[in-house]
Amino acid sequence: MNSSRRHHLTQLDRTIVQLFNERARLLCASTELEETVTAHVDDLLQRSTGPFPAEALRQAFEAIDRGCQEAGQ
Amino acid sequence: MILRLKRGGGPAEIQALRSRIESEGLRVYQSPECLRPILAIVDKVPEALAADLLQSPQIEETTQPKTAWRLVAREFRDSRTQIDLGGVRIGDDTVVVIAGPCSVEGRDLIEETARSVADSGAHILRGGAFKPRTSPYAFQGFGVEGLRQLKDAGEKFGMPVVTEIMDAADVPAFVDHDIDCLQIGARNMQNFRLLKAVAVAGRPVLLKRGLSSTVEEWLYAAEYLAAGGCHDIILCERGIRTFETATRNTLDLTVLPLLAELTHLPVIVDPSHAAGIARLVAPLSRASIAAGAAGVAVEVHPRPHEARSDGPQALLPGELTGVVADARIQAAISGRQLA
Repeated sequence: MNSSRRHHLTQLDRTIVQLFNERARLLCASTELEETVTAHVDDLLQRSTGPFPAEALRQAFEAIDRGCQEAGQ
Repeated sequence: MILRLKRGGGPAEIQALRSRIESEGLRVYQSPECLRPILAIVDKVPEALAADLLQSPQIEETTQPKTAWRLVAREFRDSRTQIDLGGVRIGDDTVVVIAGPCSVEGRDLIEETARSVADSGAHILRGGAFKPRTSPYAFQGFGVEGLRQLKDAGEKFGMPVVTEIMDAADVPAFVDHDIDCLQIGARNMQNFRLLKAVAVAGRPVLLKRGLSSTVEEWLYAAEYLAAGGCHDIILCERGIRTFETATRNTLDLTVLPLLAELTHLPVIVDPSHAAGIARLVAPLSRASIAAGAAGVAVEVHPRPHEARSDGPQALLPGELTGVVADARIQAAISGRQLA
């Protein structure tokens, strides 16, 4: 991988981490959101048309949810 | 001239240095910095005194800013100004959303709007009680009664309030009604008597950019506030008048990274007045935060077509919720978070 692609990847990963944190903050602040999250994610997965495999996305969201729950505790 | 003092100097030493400078008939101001005091001499420093100061053991560094403003200059603060506006922080690593109707149009309507602003996740309620209208026949606002209704609505839904002041004589009314932040509107940006009066009100001030004002003129207006004793100044870019008539004004986002170099003051953006068209407000809000704005101020109305002023630029409550959600994402992408 050349240096510019590595830089792009670093930037993307940094943004993904920042968004994970923001998602956790939002969930921590709003208990009533929790019930609607699963249906919302199912809908997103069905609509996803990118190259990222749907099953891998589902697992990623499950991991994110676990992280958010841990953050909430 | 800006003097950066060495750490550890006591108040007596600083006062002695100030007295030395003032004895030459010069005006000197001290930065609110805690760790390392910074002094700004706003008058031309005689060569002999400048040479003396360079030799002073108290002084670590002297700088001569390229610009003529001093107290709002970036060099006057080690850190950026952070403001506590009724419990909401502005200017730290957070992004704020200020929202409300253009005008306070009555108790029921401002409460209905305030409820939607609070529900959206926005932080501060805005609304005009004294309205500077182009036409003398247009709705001029409810005046002091409007202040009361705005403040009551803010308290009911747990939000501080910001509203425009047009006349120096009204400062006591704003303070009596515990208005959290006084706004100097675009048309009054260079009303220097008003700036001086507002500077001593002891409240944060939101200073809008004049319709056709340069960055330099804007910062001089801010300098008036700072020289008058107001340190809690928020600059607000709200669009400038250009040859373009497709939008109400032209939003000058260029100023965001530029002002980050020139001043320590936080800058927010008002895309509603810039565009004058509600559907442009959301993308301009995203752009503003991406470019570094400390927040956005947008107009919202439950029934924009019934608004007594600026209805075409008012968001619906649901659209405001989208703007706040976008602000959250844009803030996170830039390593910040919603206030």
